[in-house]
Amino acid sequence: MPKEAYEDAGKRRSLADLQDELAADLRPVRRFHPGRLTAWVVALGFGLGLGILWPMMGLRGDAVTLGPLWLWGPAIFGVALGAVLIVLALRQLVPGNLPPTSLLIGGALVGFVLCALIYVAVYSQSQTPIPSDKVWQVALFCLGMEICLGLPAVLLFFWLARRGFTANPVLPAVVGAAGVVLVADSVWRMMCKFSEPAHVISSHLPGMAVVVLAAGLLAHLWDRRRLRGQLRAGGLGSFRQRP
Amino acid sequence: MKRIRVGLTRLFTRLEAQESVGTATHLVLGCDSSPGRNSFSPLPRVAPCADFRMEKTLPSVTAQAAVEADQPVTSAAVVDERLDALMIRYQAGDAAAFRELFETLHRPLRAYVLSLARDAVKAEDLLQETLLQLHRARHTYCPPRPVRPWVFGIARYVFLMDRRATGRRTRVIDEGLELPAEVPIPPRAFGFADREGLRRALGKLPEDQREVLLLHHVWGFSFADIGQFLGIREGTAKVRSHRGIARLRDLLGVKGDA
Repeated sequence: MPKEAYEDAGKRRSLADLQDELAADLRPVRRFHPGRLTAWVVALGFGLGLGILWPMMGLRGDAVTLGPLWLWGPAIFGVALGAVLIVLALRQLVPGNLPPTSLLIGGALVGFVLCALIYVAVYSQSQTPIPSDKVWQVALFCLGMEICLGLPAVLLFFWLARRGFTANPVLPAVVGAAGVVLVADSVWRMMCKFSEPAHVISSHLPGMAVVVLAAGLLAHLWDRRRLRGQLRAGGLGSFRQRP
Repeated sequence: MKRIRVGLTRLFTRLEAQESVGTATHLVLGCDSSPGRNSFSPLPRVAPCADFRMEKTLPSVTAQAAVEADQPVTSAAVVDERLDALMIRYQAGDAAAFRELFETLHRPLRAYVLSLARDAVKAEDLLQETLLQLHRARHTYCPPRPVRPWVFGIARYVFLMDRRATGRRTRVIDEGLELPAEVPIPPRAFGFADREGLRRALGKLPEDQREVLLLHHVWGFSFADIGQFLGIREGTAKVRSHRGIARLRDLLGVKGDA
């Protein structure tokens, strides 16, 4: 029901009026399930990413050297970690069911640290050197791919999370985006054969950071727009004319 | 399934009853928040403000007594269950459930937003906005979670959004303001300090400590619920409550262990 419906220039509205108007708007609603939405984000993000990229680019060149454990293991671990962060973020959108803020921030940081450790572990199994004449080319390509995979996944997350309710969407957006980029990175890790720390630090992690920051910025802009709209409509209780 | 549900209800009631021995002996002045510890009690032990919590008439028998006497469980858990059922019907578009829920919740919500805003006109706006947002966000309630933390969570979000939208820094401005008279204080606490003195002292508490104190001691939320409600750890909620009690004792000149 549009908020304007409650604006009435002629008289102050009582609770009874509000009750009547809300009763007139009653209809069955579909519930917002953080767990179910997480499954959708992960399945669509990971499944679609892998389904599109695998036929186009094939698996990483050293897949045979790594073996299925080191190829799929880190990817599945990354997806699981991302799913945890997405659940935590979506729980922020359900009032009265907030995870501790310290857990959210700590979870996001631990996620990135674990992600870096996974790269190191994979690098210890297979060191594929980057050709010296293609260092920047490879770096820019991986940076671009992380962003290209991450941004649509974050938009998908925003679209699925739009029905939640929060006072400040920036924190859930950042944590949710962190989870989403971990999932996206898990896809890309199966295509990119370069696990060299310098390459990861210069292109993979910045790509993920760009997506997370973009998500935070988007959420901040949306929040400002929402609050401004509220002020333009007369602030809270705009359905009730102020004296 | 029904048997499991009844069993769970009894279990929760028993747990709640156990909690009521220590933490829910409540308010503010009577005792510490840890069960079984009552280092200072010049007051009669104060029961949780159950009538306010529920709005619906609650039986006078406490959950603890009901469990001990093996009487049918008629406690907060049952009332919460009733609210849950109403909310589920409300989500399905049931007008009668909506009206009953509305009638049940609007008074506690008004008192809660009043305790946050400490301004009667603002609280009225916040209440209406809360009820409006509750309606818009009714799909975010997921059973079997209890309804009250969800509803109070929406009220808190509305308050925070208003504070951010208007740019008010109530944390600074409102320091030292008294709580409005409509904010409930359990009646038996008045035996220790007069109503006005108690309100003044509560008003001087830091916002975070006062909020946890009121949520736990007046509205009867558990510390676990408060933690989820405020986005803090359960232990942090306990610490805030403990500090709030200690500070309140200082302000009221009451001697005893904090």
